[in-house]
Amino acid sequence: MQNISFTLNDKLVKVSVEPQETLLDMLRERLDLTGTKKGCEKGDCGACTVILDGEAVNSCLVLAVQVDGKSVTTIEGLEKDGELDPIQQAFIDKGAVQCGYCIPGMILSSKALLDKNPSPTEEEIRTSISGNLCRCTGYVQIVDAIKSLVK
Amino acid sequence: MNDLTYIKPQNLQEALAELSKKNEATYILAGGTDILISLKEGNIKPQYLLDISELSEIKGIKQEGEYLVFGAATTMQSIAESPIVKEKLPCLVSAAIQMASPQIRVRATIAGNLVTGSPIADTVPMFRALDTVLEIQGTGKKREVKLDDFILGYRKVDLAAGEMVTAFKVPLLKANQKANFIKVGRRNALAISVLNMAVKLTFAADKTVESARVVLGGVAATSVRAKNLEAFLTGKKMTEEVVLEAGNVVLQDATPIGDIRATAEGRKVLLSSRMVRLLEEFIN
Repeated sequence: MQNISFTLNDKLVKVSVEPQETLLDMLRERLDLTGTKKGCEKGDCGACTVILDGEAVNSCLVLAVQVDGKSVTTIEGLEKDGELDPIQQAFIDKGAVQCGYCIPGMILSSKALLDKNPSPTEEEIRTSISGNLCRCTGYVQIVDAIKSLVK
Repeated sequence: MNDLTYIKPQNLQEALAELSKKNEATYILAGGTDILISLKEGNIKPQYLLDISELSEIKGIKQEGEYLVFGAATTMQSIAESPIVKEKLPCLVSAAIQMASPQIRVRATIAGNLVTGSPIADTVPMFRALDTVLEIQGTGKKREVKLDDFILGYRKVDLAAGEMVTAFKVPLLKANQKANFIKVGRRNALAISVLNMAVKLTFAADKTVESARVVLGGVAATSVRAKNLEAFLTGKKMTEEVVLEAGNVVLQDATPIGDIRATAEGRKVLLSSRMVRLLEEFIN
């Protein structure tokens, strides 16, 4: 086991992890943050997307030990004082959520984009979620939700 | 697998020292987008994982004389966003930006894309067409090898125990040179290429092709130089007739197989038509 400490949703946490343990498994199994979804486990589906030091990454392809000293944001970290993040609210308002399984990843991919670029083009929006699969195929509403936040 | 040890060296010297004293069960972890899948699926059983993903000595892009030098652990995303690459070698941006997905591009490194030895790696044909030289280091030794010579066979590359690729030295394009890249996948994002191809042409003053470098991915066991096509283009002016004929000639350079992404016959049709499309941009 290795001890690591990192910032998780704005709070410093300390965790003991196995060297081969993925960030995804640590979040779900040790920290009970099951909002981060486990889909394909090989970087194809994007359901496990989290933000690592400002960039959207597949948490199934990052080792837990690699986030030592870094900052991680999961879907659980978006709501503040009972208020949903504007991206979460936009997804609801635009009917972008169907079965919901891809949505945490979709929201974090779009958050990584909007944090860096508050005025993306539609193409940049579509590129930003191109690593996230929605098998309900609700892409149009998802893109509409993100577009509604463009400044 | 329980005895796996994760090592994160603080600098390149330390990384090379670790690499030299460990055994063949030592694996280098760079972007992790390939190796962590192999690890999970049990295809590799590493004893040591050496994380080089944050070594500043092998990250980043800088101009050195007539070369752009890319640290081996430079990510696809850094290439796609780099002002100097956009200006000097936009063809590399085109290759990097078409790889996988944003989440993968922000982790995956150019050396990782190369040393896995896949015949269908997205950035290898363009680096090869540009006549890239690799810098390879082991403890106390450094050597350079042309990327053309580095690829030995299917998933085989010229790396000895204790060595790692540390930099890609890419010659800048001269005023009389032009290069470009095409990828064919079944969809835009996250598609492993069906095939890909890269071309660099050097023109003489009379606009004939002085020399050609054409590299094909996905049509043989490794990426390959299209020697027949290169010979065909050399000495010719790039006209519509020449480009159309090139689509036929290139088939002599390919020995594609059929797999889940395309049949062998389908690959030939694609190779021919996409080579024409790629070379059309060079008509002058």
